Amino acid sequence: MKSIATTLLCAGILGIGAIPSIAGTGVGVGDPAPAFTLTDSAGQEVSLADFKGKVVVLEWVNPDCPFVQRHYKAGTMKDLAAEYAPKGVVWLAINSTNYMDAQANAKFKAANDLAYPILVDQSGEVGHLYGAMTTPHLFIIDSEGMVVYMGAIDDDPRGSKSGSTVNYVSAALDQVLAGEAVTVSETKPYGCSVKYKK
Amino acid sequence: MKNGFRVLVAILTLVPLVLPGAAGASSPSGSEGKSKVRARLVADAADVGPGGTLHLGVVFDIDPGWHIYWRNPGGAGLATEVLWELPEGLEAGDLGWPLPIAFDQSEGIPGYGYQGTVMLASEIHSDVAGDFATEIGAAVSWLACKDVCVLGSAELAGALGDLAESSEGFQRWQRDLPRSVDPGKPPFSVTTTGGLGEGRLTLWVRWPEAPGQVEWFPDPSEGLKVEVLGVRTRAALTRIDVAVQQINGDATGPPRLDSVVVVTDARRRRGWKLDVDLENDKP
Repeated sequence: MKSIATTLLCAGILGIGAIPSIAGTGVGVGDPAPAFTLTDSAGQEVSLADFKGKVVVLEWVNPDCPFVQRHYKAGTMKDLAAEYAPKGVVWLAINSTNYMDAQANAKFKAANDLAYPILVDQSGEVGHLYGAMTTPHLFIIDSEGMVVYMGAIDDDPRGSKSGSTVNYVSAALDQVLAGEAVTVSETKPYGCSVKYKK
Repeated sequence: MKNGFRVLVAILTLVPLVLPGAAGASSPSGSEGKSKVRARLVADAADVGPGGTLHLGVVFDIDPGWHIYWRNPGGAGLATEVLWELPEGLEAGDLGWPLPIAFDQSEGIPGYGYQGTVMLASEIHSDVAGDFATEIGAAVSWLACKDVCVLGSAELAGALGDLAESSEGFQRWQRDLPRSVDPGKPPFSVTTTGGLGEGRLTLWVRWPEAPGQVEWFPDPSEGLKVEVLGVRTRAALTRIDVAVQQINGDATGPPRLDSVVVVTDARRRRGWKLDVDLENDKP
């Protein structure tokens, strides 16, 4: 076994330099939520700044993804948005799928009778800004504009748990609204990859 | 300096077969109702006696251009799942996962999985004389992706005597499993710098000679976010840079991370289990 010093020396001699980090992409918990403006499926401009002082949930969505389909069939997001809307929580769905235009998103919104907008991000710019990896992938922004949760909607990637599912977003929202620190502030998101523009 | 190697007992094979019975979810690309993956149950023996062993496998035949996922799917996706349903007296060992391939799932989102045909298999131990008329089964589920993703599942079952086929496929499965490192003759040495405390670590893998293409696959870990920043090889030294971060509110995090290091040269593709110490930077 070689020593660290020997190995590092050899690395220098062999010309293996620093590898650029890609960890800087996307946001982390505790970061300020990046500002954005997108157009929703009805053609209306929506900016994060419109909701200054409010708790905002960003949900990355793709109607073609079976994980999204399962949750919309069960009403997971729709029910959660409706439950927390009276408490002042704003829910914004964002679709960064490269081939999904306003019309496709409008169709999904109508089919599911959604009260919240679907923002069209075909360029993937906002998706990359936040580091959205999967559909669904959820981010919670507190009233101070800070990211306080990012990750999965729940702890049931396969949809096979019965009755014992932990909804991370609901738990985090309860703590945020109570003025508490979020206990589980980051989880591994699951689902289809976001189908970004290449 | 800390490094570690852990032995994984397993095996792999690539068997070309086509099998009806796999379920598929609909997709928007004109593939509705068409399964992208077919799965079938196979065995390497028609019977087994008390104290004996055999192997059971599920062969996945995947449509061209599509992939299914390794036990760590990467930045998105879902691990393929095989749940054995065995009669009393038969007990399954861990599922043996052949060496995965790496691919881009989407812009900047890594994926680990399989294309073409792959078998996931386990060694089965018998405590009793087999009742070979008894059905052996497996509940199987997977996520298949190309430009879109399709969930699939299958309930596979059969009498042991009907499942047996040539052992060639199982020999290939065993050959393509990650190997344990022989401490007396290690194929490489590893030095680790950094660790969980720093949020970043580097594995310096030294080979006896230029190894060919080197890849590194971290195992899934509930309490960790692991991001492979880069793998570079020059001559006989490979540098693997990894960002590691505790998640799920876990204050301590796991001290170690299982992984697989894979080398592809002109002749073959081989892999070894590599146990990474995450607390290397702890005083």
